[in-house]
Amino acid sequence: MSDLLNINFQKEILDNGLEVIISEDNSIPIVSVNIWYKVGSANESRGKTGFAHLFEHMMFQGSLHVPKEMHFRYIQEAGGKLNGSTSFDKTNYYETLPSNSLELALWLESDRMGFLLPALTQEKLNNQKDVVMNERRQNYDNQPYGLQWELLFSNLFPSDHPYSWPTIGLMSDIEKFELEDVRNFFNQYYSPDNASLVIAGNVNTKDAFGLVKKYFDDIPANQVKHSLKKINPLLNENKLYIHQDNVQLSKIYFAWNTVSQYEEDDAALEILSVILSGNKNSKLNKVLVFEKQIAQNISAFQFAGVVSGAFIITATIKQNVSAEDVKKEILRVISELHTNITDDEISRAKNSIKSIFIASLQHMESLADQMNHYNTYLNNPNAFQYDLNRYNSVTKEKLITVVTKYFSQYYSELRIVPKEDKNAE
Amino acid sequence: MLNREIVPASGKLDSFLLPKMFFFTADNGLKVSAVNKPKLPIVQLDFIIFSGSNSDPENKYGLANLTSMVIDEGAGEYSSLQLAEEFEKLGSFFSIETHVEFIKLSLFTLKENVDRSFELISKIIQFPQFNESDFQREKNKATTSLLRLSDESQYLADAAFDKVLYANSYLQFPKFGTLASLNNITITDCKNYYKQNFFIQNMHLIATGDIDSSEIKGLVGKYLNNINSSDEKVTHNQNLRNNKSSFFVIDKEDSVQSEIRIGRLSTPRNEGNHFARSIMNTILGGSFVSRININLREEKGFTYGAHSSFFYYQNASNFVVSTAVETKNTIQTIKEIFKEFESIRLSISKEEIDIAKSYLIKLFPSMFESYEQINNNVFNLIYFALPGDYYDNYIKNIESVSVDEVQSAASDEIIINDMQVIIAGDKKNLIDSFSSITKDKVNIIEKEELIEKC
Repeated sequence: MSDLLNINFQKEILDNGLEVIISEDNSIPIVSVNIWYKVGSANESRGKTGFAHLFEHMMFQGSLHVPKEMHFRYIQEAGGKLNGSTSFDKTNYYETLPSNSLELALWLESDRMGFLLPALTQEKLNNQKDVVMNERRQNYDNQPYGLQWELLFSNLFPSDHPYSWPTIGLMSDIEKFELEDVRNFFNQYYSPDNASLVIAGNVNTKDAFGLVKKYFDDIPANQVKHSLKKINPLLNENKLYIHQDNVQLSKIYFAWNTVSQYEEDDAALEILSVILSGNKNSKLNKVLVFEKQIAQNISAFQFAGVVSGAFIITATIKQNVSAEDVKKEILRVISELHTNITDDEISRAKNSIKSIFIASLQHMESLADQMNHYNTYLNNPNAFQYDLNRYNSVTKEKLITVVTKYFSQYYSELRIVPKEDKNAE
Repeated sequence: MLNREIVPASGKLDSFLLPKMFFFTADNGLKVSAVNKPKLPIVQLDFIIFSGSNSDPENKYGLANLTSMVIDEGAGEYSSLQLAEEFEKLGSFFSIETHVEFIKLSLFTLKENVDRSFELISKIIQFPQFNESDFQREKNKATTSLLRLSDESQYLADAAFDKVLYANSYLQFPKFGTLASLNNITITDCKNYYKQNFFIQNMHLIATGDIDSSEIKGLVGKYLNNINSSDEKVTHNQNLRNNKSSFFVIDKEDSVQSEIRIGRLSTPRNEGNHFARSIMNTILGGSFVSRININLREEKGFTYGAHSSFFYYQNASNFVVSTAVETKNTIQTIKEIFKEFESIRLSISKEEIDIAKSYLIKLFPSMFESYEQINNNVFNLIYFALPGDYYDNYIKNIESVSVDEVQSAASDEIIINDMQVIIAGDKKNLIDSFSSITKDKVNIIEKEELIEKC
């Protein structure tokens, strides 16, 4: 077990600050190249929301030596797959391709890290603003409950808190972005000293370092001042926000302020979420979905980012059941937690988490991304065993402390209800 | 100094060894496929039942799905919650998916727990309890799910698409059923569905992981001695033909986007040149840089993404283009998609074909990365009755497709006059604009027909 989660790697930091991690795995002739930039929507401010994500789109629009669309075409012709994602705290770019095309991937990644701006045009920006606005329509505005996280977080955190706006951004902000915004953002954050590169797969470590140096060594650093800091704000009263949507069933959400990732209590809160809703037999599921059948489904989880964390419970309410009844049951289950968590439940939760860890090692792409995550936040790409131990060391006493500490605080409640629902209140 | 104008050439690729697939019949008659992959101490098991919603009786649509929901609600000596607890103790994950032509019971387990996990899944397959109270709870869940789905434009568009294309065939009915059809289902129906479809001749076990064929044989012999047996052949009526192109709208009031589906019935999986179709589709809409996606996303900015695919059943198939666009761009999008149809029928360049081939060929090793992917590849062999050396010849078969064959695939499959156009969107803001693309009356499909009525 300890060997299994002990992933081999070598790490070097280039003179320009780029962190490079290489992990050899020769089981299949593919390689995953994964690069993290330590910038996300939490680096934005009100009035400019959604920019980190729009910028991610611009990174696929070609760079000085790569014409528009060619980034995709080169990777496709090589038999690779690529994508990128933006979250509150980071933006990542990754491609998995046959291992003999590693150099192609490094050429492409280095060109957009070092030479994006010369290829920037108004036309490209306008096009990607349209694409992103359609992404927002498709995945949020036109989805039932699509605004759920945006509404929940904007009511949990104060309006100047960096998690209080959604990563996709507000439509009114996306519309307004200009080329100058792209240039400033690039200069401020897209620099080798704000990035971390993981190469995992069928490579020779020495050769791979050589290729990385060939393509990245001459990209100058911009001396990025990394600015995300932990803030753990607290509500000073319970809040209730009701939103009407084009839906048949109501959903109810509760969010408590907790702690950010890897802080003391973070792992205990995750174990608690498994005990509450991890499976059919978990406490909330058993009462609300199985026995009383007042909820269609229920889910609890600890969300934890760099800046803040929150413990969230959400349930879809069955037809003709009042939100108040569901709320009462959820709060009752929570109020009993300090007396009824069993050792069995804790050990089952730990077993599930262990399996998830092992299952996650199947894909080079998720392995590379996880190594980048650990490297970025724990300064150790091989923190798998350390991370699993965080969960394994959680005791019943710890869980009871956590329950008492966080659930006695104020919470933010959201209800998404059918339009013209007279019983909404 | 480094010359960044030069696109790096790819080096020599290390050889890729296809995982070895073993096919055998266990002593009890169960057909088994196994791949030994000891990289991680895990096992992925899939029990396939070769019946799905295609075996739903008339007016009881949704029965297969509901039976699958009830089948693990108590089995052998364990109640529903106890059974879930037993899996959880092991850190094993069990799930069931219902499809139109099959049901898949999946198990992920650590190698150290494979024996006990196999014992539990065997109880589900052989000794489901089918209690009335569990049935009522799951039926209520299935009904509530439908209400939830009725809010989703994607679901409405997909359900309407199947209804239009597969009219007169069992393939037209939604696997989740309708409110009326679910209402007709009793616990006796579930028991009958189970009896008529969960028998050994209608099953296949696929396993990939840190386990070998003799271990699997051992597990089957130890735990699966009570599966039903039957000589019945499960057969389904099928009466398919393409109709003249028409327009259909499902009203989704106040949507900000239209969900668009455009497609027709196509040549079944094992007829014609499957590889030529794949290459043609990769160029038309099957990849990010396909003609349709580049046009609608990267040039027009109409959508977050547009793609096309061939969807294969065992003996039927369809071609479909899917996208979601802002309401005001709906008609222009449909016109652009038809333009792309016209254009691909006229010409496909050798360069495009070479790039598509290169993609499909070089992608091959990555199709065998995870345990689940390997199981799915084995499943495809069985489901479509492909030859045992299918994957051995995969690359060669793609390489040998000629330009003419790809061009023929376009003229055979992209037939403009057959294309049905289905839109789930805001009718009041859409309906008048159709006059610019069709003189015919636009058909309205009511949401009730897809969700409520039988």
